[in-house]
Amino acid sequence: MATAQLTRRITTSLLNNSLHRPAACCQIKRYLKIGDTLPDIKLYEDNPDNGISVRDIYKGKKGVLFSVVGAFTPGCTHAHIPEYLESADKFKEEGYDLIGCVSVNDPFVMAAWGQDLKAEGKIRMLADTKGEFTKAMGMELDCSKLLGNIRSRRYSLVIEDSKVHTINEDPQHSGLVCLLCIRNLKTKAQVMS
Amino acid sequence: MQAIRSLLSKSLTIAGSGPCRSRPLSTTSVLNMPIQVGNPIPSVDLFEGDPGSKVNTGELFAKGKSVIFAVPGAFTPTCSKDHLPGYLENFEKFKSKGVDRVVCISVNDPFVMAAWGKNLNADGKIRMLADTCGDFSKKVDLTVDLAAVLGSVRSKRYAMVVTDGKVTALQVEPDGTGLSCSAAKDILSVI
Repeated sequence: MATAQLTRRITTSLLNNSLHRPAACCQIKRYLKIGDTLPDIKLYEDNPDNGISVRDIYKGKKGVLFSVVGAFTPGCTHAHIPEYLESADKFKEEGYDLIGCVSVNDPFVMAAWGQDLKAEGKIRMLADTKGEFTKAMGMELDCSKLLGNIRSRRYSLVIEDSKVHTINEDPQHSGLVCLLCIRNLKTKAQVMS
Repeated sequence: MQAIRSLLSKSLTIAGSGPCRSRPLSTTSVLNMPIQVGNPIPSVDLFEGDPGSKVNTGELFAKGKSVIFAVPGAFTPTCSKDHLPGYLENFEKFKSKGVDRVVCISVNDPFVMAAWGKNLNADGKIRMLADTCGDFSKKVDLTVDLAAVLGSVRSKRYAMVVTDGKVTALQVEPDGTGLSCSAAKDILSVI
């Protein structure tokens, strides 16, 4: 009887893994939840030598961190990031200290994109060079065929003193639907409840 | 080369403990070495402008004289400040020497490559071809592992002249990333 129960538990766990649904015990490691502290993972600004822990970037601050699929991709460039650029002053008025944009690109590309968009002083361009932060968020998007590697799905976080306050996620989980405005999205908290 | 391949493709006895066994030695792994002068350019799809716009290297370089220069990364300092600008400045000199096309290849996605070319005013002169998944760079076996700083395996820095589909000159940076022998002036002198 004990063997049958053990077998059932192993089978269920295997099934969960194969369906890419993390078992409950893995959820805390793989996905950030509201109230969690940001992981101590470096993002890179301007060049590969300038790595800063994302936890430190938002320490003692109220801020937004939003992800894009790729620097210089049409949707991100023409619709997604301009929305944040145009709202930058409004975010400041509402007490936000910083807006960060994260993408799985190298820091030279991210910096160049930021320059191209005249984002200096408005949005900090943060490179998740090896996709480590994206993996910790559980937000990988396989863009190997089109862009050459694993990228990030679209989401945004509202962060207060390095703790996650709100999570907004692309409802289609595809990263291909352009997010027009952080406020238009269903919060993950609502989706999960 | 053919004779060597044919020799190695015959079964060779591999000594070892236990009874001797004949095992064919894989020629691919033994002879997988970087492309050399005299080799044909391989046929691989690169991408220009966006992921839907394929440019096949076998077709592009089949006829005429082409200069290819490969870089480790779009928007990286040496590539942006020295390597690509050198080819832009000398573009007319290349044309006067009968070069039909100057092509830049890098392991970046096509949107990044196009943006880089635009940023440096290369439009209409240098064709910016994205080796998105690194297939071309792996095929010519001229890669360098830059995962730690740029997130992936990239292309070595080199310059190549291709004439009617065959490599007729090739200068590969010894450390893969420096700029000592693959600048425009270096290749101009060997065309």
